[in-house]
Amino acid sequence: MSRILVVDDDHNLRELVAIRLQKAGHRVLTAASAGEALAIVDQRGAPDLVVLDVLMPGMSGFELLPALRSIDGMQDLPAIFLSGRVEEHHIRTGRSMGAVYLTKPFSANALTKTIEKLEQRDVAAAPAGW
Amino acid sequence: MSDGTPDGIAKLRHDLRTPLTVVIGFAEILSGERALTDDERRDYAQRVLSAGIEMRELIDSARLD
Repeated sequence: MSRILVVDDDHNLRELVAIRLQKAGHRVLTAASAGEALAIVDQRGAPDLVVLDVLMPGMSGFELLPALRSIDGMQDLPAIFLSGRVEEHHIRTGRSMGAVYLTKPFSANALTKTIEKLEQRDVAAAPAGW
Repeated sequence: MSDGTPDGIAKLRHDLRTPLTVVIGFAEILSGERALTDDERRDYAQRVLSAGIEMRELIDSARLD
């Protein structure tokens, strides 16, 4: 079980991912923008993993991930990009950041299996906010 | 809006992917989960409908020829 922050500007997509991850036993918080995601982390502490859309109004997922990883204690934050951009250069950019890049439409099974693999890393104790 | 150029068509293909994910994802839950409440069924069906309408609007607004 992980504490997962899901960031996507589409409310139905956020809800779908949250339902799938909650059913898999994870604790999930959602944000509609990069700014909201940074505020949640500031208030609630670091998640174990983030699921990020790439193209969002304002700061993109590619910009948000380094911003999150610049926060003390989050340098190694595991990340999954969940994107409608299927062009090779987008996929390459995401992977170059050490993230998993899944394209929409994704399979729920692929998402939960990816998270299981990322969970095999050491998971810190849950902060009080989660 | 797609304007019929390769870039416009690429954008339409991208824009369709999020609502398509919503349609497939909630339809999978509706067809595969037996323990849903009536409120959950209504909520998820509404999300399928709204994503379908969004896709229709994207296609209607695209000029592909």
